[in-house]
Amino acid sequence: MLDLGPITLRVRSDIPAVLDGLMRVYRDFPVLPPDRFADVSLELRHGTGLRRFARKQAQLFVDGEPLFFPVALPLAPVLMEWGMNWVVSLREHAYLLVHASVVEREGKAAILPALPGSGKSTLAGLLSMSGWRLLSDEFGMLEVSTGALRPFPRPFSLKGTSIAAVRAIAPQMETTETYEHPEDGPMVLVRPAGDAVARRNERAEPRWIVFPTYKAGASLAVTPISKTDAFFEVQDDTFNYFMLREAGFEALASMVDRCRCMRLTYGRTEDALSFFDRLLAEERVA
Amino acid sequence: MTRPLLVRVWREPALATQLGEPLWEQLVAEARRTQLLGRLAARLEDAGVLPHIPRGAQKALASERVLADHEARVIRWEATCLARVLADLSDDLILLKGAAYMAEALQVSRGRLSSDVDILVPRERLDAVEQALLAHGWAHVKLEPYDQLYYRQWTHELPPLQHTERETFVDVHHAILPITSRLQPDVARLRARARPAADGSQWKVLAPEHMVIHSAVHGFHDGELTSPLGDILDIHQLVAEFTARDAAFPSTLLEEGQRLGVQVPLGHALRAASRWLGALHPAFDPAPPSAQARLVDAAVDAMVVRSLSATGTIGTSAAGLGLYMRSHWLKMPPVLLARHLTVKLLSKRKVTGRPDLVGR
Repeated sequence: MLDLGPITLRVRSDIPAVLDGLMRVYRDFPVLPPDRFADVSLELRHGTGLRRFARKQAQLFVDGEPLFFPVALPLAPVLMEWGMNWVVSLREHAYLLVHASVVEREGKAAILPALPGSGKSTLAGLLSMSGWRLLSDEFGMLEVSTGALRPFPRPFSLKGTSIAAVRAIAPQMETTETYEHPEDGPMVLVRPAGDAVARRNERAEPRWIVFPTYKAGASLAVTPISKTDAFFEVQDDTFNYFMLREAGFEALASMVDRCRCMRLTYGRTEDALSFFDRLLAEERVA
Repeated sequence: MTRPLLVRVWREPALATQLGEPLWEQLVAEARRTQLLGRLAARLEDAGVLPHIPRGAQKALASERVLADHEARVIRWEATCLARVLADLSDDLILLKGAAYMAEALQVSRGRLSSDVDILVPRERLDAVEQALLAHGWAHVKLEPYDQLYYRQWTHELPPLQHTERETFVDVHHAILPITSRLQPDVARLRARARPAADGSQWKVLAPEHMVIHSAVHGFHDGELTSPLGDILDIHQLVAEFTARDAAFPSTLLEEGQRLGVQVPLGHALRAASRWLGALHPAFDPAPPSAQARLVDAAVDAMVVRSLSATGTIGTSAAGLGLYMRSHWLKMPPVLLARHLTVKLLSKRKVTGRPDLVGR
């Protein structure tokens, strides 16, 4: 039973290797007594029947019900993250859930909305190893009652060449064992760096919305975009905007109002990192 | 029989304040599994106990209310859109089930999830209704020729239509049981007694006794009891509210059941409601009238228990399969049934999916 900040999580598994992998990336989270109310209860079990012998597989159960198809054992921790994303997107309506990575420094947060292939996880991963605090990788949780961003600093996943890119600046990075996905290549989960977990209840003010694009070899390019465009682009990638009605509109509008909005194209890690440091410096002056 | 936690708390909401966190976790899981969490939230809110339960449980119930309110809005809007398209075709458009409960602002609609809108139209207007819907953004989702044929030839409804932008479903019925069914309640009588909906829309709704009868035959005759406790809850809440409004309602209901020839499924439904959620009225006899009825009652109970326990895969259990077979047996003549089951068996296809794409 773990305290993840916005939710409490119960994890069970009859597969020791899976628990070992999870403990490696989840070990900073406080363990709660087992008799506490779990917001989410997950179980990873061996595949049943003949499958169990044919191929080592894990099946995910959410509150006792199977979710998704069984996967190979090394992918089990990633499956658990997918399951948690799925459940959180359906259940946590005290927040406007924005599909984005979020990082923070000096109380100010940068929201990196996810477009497929944009590399938001990679960028957030890089920043989180370079002095920025990882607020969340999958969900920007905008608290409807306060307008602040709620941290949800879970282990984040990296794929393919991103793993090496982040390891290059953070050789001490800790991960689950590497899983070779037949289509997507290697995948790992990374333990959140620094004090991200310890400060999991410390909210942040939205200050920048940056739509990132990674293009190999490209030089840094920044294009400001209008608040209107930013509003609709972010709205397009929320999980529960319409469910929250006026409160959702108010939360999103006030977030966009408080943010500088821009597109960022980068091809080199150091360009991207120094760009974010520049953003922060400008903020200090202003 | 020890009653499941969800049933005990439903019957006695004050119990909710005495549960510790582990039992609350179990209660929420049972309610999620049976898709009744929104209804439980409404029930406990009405009982005024929400401030006295653990914070995690409060959060779960509050979130589920947001979801249920949203889905209710979606259904109401869909009913409005349907009325706009269909109003010129007939002045005899009737909302059924969840959408009707909402239009009438009945207790049963509070926190209740409806996945689609069900409507009843005159059979002779069926083609016109289908054409109008297809011309205004709805489309068929069951495209297999056999499925299309099956619905049109043997059931009481069109194949489900989905709006291509809003993605909501509409089931267009012309009767409340399949045309091959051994029971044929007189749909003209239902239509004749329908009344304008309380929400002031262009829709009509069934008379109260017919609402209950429709729910009963849907769940306990033609239905496959996919959400047994939810179906039972519908019956219980409807009958309780209608009886509170009109003391003569129970006898009206029983008479109407006789007249329409649906006393058997109505009996199953009323007995299940009383057994599980508390006696409704002295007019309803708690004893099953025959040995066969007793067997069906027992199967219903087994389904309820199973639906509340983890990984209760309905359809694979003996009771579930039994009721599935029974519901088909009652719906179709034996030769047709054999053909239907053969085609369905042969067409079972393997599903695949990418979990990482879900929820996008």
